[in-house]
Amino acid sequence: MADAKKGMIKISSSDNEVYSVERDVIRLSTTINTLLQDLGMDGDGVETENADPIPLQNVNSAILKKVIGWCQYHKDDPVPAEDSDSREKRTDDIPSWDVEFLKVDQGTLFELILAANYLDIKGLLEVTCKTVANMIRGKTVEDIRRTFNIKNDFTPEEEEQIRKENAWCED
Amino acid sequence: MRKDKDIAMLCALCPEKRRELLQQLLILSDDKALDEVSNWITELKTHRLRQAENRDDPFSLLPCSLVQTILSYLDPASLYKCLRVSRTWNGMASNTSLWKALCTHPKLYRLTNQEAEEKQLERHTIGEGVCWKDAFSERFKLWRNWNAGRCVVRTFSGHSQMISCVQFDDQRIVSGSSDSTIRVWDHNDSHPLGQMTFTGHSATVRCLHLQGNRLASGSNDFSIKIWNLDKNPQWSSIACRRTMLGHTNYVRCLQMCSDSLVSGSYDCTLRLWSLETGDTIRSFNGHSDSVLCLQYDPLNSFRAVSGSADNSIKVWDARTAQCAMTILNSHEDAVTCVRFDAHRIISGSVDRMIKMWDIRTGRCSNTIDWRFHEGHTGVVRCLQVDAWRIVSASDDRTVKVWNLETSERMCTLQSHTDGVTCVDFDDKRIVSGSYDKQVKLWDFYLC
Repeated sequence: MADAKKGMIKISSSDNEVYSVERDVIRLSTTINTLLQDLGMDGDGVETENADPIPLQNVNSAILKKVIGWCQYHKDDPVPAEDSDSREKRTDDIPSWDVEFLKVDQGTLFELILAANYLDIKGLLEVTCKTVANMIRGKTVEDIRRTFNIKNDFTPEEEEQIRKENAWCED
Repeated sequence: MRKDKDIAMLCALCPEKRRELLQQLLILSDDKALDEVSNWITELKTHRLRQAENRDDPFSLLPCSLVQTILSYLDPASLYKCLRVSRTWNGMASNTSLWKALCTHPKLYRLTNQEAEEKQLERHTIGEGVCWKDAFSERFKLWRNWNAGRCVVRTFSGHSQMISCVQFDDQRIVSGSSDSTIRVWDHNDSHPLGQMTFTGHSATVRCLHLQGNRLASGSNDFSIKIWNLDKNPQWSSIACRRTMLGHTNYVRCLQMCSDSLVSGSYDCTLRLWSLETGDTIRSFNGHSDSVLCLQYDPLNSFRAVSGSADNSIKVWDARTAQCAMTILNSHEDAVTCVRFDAHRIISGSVDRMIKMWDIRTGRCSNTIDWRFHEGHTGVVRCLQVDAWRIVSASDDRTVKVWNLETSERMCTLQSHTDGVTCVDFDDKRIVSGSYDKQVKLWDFYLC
């Protein structure tokens, strides 16, 4: 059996689906990585095969499958530099594989953000957030509402007031 | 602190107890208080209803920090749109940290220098907190206008000959002309005669430097004059505080510091003067033709940089008048304008080029070649530089603004009907003077 191999980690979704994932893949989740280290399950020759799966209560199986898929593809990525503050805030640099990978319905995209946040997968969180930002960027106010199904709850007076305040940056 | 404790205590109560307490409180309240409470209840109910209605908004699923992460990837124009989507979005997009991040962007939305940025933030500080959104809005507006060349132009006519030099501050514009007068103009009042006219030079006023109420002028009459602009002096003879003689030809460029002044002349020399005594402290010899431009910075190792009709740029130590470096044949023709900062020298020339040089090595680090960069098609007469942009004026009748880092042209300003000889700028405006006898104010803040 594939998951009998050394270095496989079992994780289970909120709906109790169990997945065996290579140690190198799940390393991308800082949450799980730290947990494994804390549990002393990180050394060579540590028996993980018969251990209980790590329960991930906040992620359902559909999303967890996607997350594992993303981690599998990105497991050999170089660790990004720490100076994220000085890095420019670009959203046009999403790798094409990720662009394809994130062609999902909006609900899934937002659940992926939550999962990436919960599992602390920096790379996935970054591309999903950028993808949502790109759904806002350059759109009209009405388009943004339509895209995210948001109700305009301003009174006409309020709306006019805010429009006036920001009128100078319209063209 | 005390209030927090009370609230914590209330939260700890069971629902029945709370209801009981509420009832007691209401009974104890007078009619006015009850009316207020009634209003609160209506407000609270609508608020809760709205929240329930907005359940569909996927952003409501995300914790605040993630919403902020997403919004931090947006450009300002999109962020301004977010403010208008809904009440919840208005709250999300108003988050101070987003606007602070934009204000502290290392390259974009900058003001002329760090000092100007600090001053601006001070203006937008209420109590302890900076109003980052307002501060940013002001910067973004300026940024957009500068990049688009969007400005209101005001023209000041009155000189009877070409304008050769301009300076300005928050209150006034000062111009020098071939009609040998200096005029002081009010920004907001293009009165045909100008606010004040100083006569005293007997030939073209070639260069000016305004510093507070002190004005230095250099002229083709070989002299340098120091004027006091304090309190509307009606008589030029009162305004003129000192005349300094020593150059043996036209005084072409000058700059004042606290107690000294450096000038450059057609007599091929630079001179360092004491403003206290009016005497020459030392002369700088080395150029083989007219000195056309200079900048002096006592805070930057007492460095002075000069450009000359001998096509060279020289770096001087003003303490010794020793030439520390010469860039021979820096341009193919006379060097008409030169500026420098801690890292580089920027020069413009009769050869229409703008060049940048490493101030330590003298190596050319960049050239804005007029043929490839939509550059000037005539002599570059003047340029001014701040932390991120270059403003240049040319015989081709235009003023151009360039990004200092990328050398990209931001805009070209056209309104003068003849070559532009001089230019000065700050965050809000450019002031220029021309052979067409007019001074123009290009205001990027008013529109």
